[in-house]
Amino acid sequence: MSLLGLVMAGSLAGRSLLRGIAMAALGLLVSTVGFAQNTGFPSYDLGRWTYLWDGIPIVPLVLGMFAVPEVIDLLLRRGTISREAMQTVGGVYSGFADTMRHWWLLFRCSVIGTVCGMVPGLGGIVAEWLGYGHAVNSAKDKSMFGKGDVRGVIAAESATSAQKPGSVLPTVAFGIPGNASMAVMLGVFFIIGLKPGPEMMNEKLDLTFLMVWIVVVANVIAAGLCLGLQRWMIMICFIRPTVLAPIILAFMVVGAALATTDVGDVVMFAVFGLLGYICRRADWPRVPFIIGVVLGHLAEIYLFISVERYGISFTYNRPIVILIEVLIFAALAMPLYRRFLRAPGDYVRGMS
Amino acid sequence: MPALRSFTWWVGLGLGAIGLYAVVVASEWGVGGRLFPWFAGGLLLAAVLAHTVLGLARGVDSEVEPEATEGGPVPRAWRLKVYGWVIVLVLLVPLLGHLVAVPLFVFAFMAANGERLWLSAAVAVATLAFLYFVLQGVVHVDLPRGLLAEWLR
Repeated sequence: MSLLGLVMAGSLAGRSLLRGIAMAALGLLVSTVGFAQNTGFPSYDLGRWTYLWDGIPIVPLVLGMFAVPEVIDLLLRRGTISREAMQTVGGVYSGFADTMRHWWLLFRCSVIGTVCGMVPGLGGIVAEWLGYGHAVNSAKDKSMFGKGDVRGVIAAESATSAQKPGSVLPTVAFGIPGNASMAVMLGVFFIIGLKPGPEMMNEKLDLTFLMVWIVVVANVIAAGLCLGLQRWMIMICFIRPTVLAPIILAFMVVGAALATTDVGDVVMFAVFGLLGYICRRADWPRVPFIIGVVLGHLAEIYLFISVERYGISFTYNRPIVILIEVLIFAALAMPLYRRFLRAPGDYVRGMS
Repeated sequence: MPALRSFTWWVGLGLGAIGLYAVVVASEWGVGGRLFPWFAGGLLLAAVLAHTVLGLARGVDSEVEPEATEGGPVPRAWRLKVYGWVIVLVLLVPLLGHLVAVPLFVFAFMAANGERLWLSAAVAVATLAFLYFVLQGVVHVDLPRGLLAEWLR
């Protein structure tokens, strides 16, 4: 399943499937840094640098890969974030209309998010990228993704929002937290004397629905606040880059250091900032890399368990595995097939 | 060969080198330890190899949005200056610690790039206040100490 997610992530690459797969594989490699989950020995710790023993934190990595290239680009352009003069604030209704127009995408990505929430350990980032990946893969015209296509926003936001209530279900019904915040909530359950399980679905069903309503009301309040404050938030787009860029850079460095409050966070922020900038300038996709890092931990542990339990025969003896392999093959073949249909003589070139 | 002039193609070779390093280092570990790194490194090497060979044979299909200021292409001096400022920040923070380096960077960057001194100072002080009172005082985040402070202690 992790490999299927990675192949789907690789196909997000847009222009080159091979570059997408290579970046996803690089993400898998980065996820192996630290104590190996199945042996307990440190891997790739660059000469016993103890900071790396816990693995590379995701916050400096994501900030480096995505935010640093954007800030450098903002500085190089010497213009404000928005290249157009500030007009009267609008677009609320068109945003609502866009969401309604893409209601089927909204529904599909909400289902993806809910399922991701139910699976312990997957979390919001995976839901977000899987939703986005689904939107890209299912769109006929992919040219505007990454350049402000509203479908990308709808997909990622609906998946990540649906993931939260989805993660409530295994926590309440089975006592299995879907993510870190649910683990904290589970702790609170025990403190106040609540016992997750069938009881929460029968005698204490009112409490379960209270949680559902809290998620709904909190989202409505957050949306109302954002709409009320949008006039002031938009002004950020018109601040001069010589004022805005140092503040963003400074707070990114601070944000990166909040992961483990170690100097190593800043080093990782710099390293992945450089990698992110190179990837952006060289048209190597960064999204598959992040998905590789996120899914790598799961993929590593389950590959080890499968090989230990069944040997290599699990790849051709188990019907579900064979089904997933067919899906992987289809996910690899479909972009090539579509490219071949578009330009029969040019499909090999599209690989590279 | 057009591929040799493509930055995208050369980046592929760099990533291949990382994959090769990962596979070689992992070969010293036990089967359980090297299983996944070999799988991921092998996948990376295979994809990069195919990319490299296809790039040589058919050219590299890449599309990078050209960087441009409102007045035309980005001047080389300005580009180097921007890279320099980013490098200064990531060197200053481990050396001096966040509390000193971050406001200092904000002030120096703004002042050096034509912003008024009072505005530069005000933004730097506001940044320091946020770090000290909100992050350290309220949220109790213990920001890492600078290496210089560690050496002097």
